Amino acid sequence: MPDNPPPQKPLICPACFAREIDPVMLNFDPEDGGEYYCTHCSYTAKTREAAEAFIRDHIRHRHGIRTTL
Amino acid sequence: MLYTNIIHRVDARADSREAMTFQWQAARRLSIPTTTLLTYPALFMDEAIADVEKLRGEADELGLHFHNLQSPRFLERFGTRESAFWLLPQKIRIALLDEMMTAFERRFGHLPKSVGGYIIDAWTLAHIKKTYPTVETAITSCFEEGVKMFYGNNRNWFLFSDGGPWNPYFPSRANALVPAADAEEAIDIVAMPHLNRDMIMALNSRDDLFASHPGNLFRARINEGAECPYLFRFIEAWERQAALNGWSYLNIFVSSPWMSANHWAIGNIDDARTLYTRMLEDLKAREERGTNANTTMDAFGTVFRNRVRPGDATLCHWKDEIKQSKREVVWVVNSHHRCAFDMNRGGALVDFRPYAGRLDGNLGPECPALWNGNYPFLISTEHCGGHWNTAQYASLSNGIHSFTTTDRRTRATVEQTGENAWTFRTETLRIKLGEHTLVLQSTWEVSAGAGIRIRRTVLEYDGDPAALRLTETFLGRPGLHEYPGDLREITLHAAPGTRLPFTYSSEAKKIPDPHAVGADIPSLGLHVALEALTPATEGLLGDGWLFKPCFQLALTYAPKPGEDIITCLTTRPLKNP
Ligand SMILES: [Zn+2]
Repeated sequence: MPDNPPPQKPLICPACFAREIDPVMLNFDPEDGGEYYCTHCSYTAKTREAAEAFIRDHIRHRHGIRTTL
Repeated sequence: MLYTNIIHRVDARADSREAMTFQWQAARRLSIPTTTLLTYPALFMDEAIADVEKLRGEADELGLHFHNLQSPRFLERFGTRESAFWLLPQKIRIALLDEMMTAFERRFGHLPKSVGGYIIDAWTLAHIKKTYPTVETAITSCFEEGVKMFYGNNRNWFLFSDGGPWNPYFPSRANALVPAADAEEAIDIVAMPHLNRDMIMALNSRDDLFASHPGNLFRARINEGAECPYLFRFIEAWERQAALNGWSYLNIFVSSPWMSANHWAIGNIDDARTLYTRMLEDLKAREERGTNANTTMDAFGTVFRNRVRPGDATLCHWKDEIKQSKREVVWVVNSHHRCAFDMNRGGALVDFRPYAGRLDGNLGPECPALWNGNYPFLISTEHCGGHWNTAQYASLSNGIHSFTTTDRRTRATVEQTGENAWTFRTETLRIKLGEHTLVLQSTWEVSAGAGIRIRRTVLEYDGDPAALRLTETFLGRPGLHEYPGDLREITLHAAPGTRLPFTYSSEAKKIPDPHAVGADIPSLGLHVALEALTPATEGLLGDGWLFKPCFQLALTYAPKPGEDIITCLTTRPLKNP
């Protein structure tokens, strides 16, 4: 079992970011195949990609602004 | 045993009365007794009283509820547009109580044993008990509704009752959010929470949305149509608490507007009513299995008085029922303090409300607190910037590498070790310090007393143990909300004989061989201390600075593998603050 988080660029918590609290970083728990978790809210993700997708899919809608690039 | 209390509220509006009829019939069909509380407008409305007479069963209890006051009669009688009972001028509050009690007695031939409000402060509660001694139980607070609900409700919901117990208790005459230490201090009323709350959301979000309230679960959008598995996990979780305390109480109070088709938060009323009915069926099934008793406020009050004395402690071990993630919190409350230990942060104490100062929490235009009924915190990671700014935790170092317990998620094992005594411990954590590995376990002993014993045990270390240092840190900031007050009232102390006044200097004073490090907090009327029950090698008193307005207390130890390092976190009243 790896002990400490893998040395990667920190991920912000997308759920905290969605309610405009940042920067809250996700911690990594190596147990059960590994999981990213937020220490502030209850957000969890199995992969970095899932956390990044949350931001892509949801956060641009905050303030009722539907931003498309 | 779980004791579940289905509570109804009788309102005057036609759609609410139709919803009330549904709620009452749903309970009657399953022979579930209810407590039905009448509001001021309903008490004076013959049609609403006729509904009550027609629908109530023999096992149903009737009482009063002090909300939804506003009505033409109220305005005419009392001449105020203040709509919150707990904020009314005291004279009006008394006159309203008298009028409601008299009307209730005239309608039903006796005075009520149970009453409820969103907040009932100590002054009002003591007045009720003195004037109407038949009252045995009261709903007196909304657990952890305060700062976060104010923001979440678009900054217009002036209900502040952060800092009290989640469970029923005997409230202190000094402050109704504080559990009394003994019968002499207690107002002789069993105080109950308005709803049970999700005990993780109570820490970090809207625990009005995630509560024992199917309508609010719709508002939280945690349902799919009539499906809401969370509600049933939530009930199960409260049933589990009985194993830790000998009893558990579940307050389900869905006021009738929430079961009405017109409610803004309810999408499909048929779905909402289906979920409500399924909830009652689940509670009935639990009763038939022998793990739940459906009861009234008054009947539960009798059970409570037979089991619990003023001064007793209760504990809640809450797991994440929303996402079913690994997250867990342990809550403890007694007459000295309320604590939340977040296992997501290695068991750090993340919310700490010490009650030693017995601060005045009475509300209304005559009272210094006016509208803010929150009991102040000494630690709140939610309001004071995460564990960087306030928390109690430990760190370990081998002189080169270090580790902080807040960086590791863990689970808790809780064990009741005696009457009013529990031990809970983290999993054993394997920690990397450079190329070396250390195995650590943290254990807390909590009770009805003021002291919390924190035990850290280095179970294994494959490096040089002589280089190891373990530091217990307490980062505190007194407050009622996010904005810090003037902390220059604080003085830090170390036994024996060292002082450091808080001046925002950022000075850190080291103390060799300390017995204890502590702080006087005059605005909270208390002294807080970390006491070294194992000899410490060094102590630290840390002044804050304006960008980090917190004080720091720390004790450092030289841990040997296999030996316990024991620290006691304690508070006591401050003499002559
Ligand atoms: Zn988060």
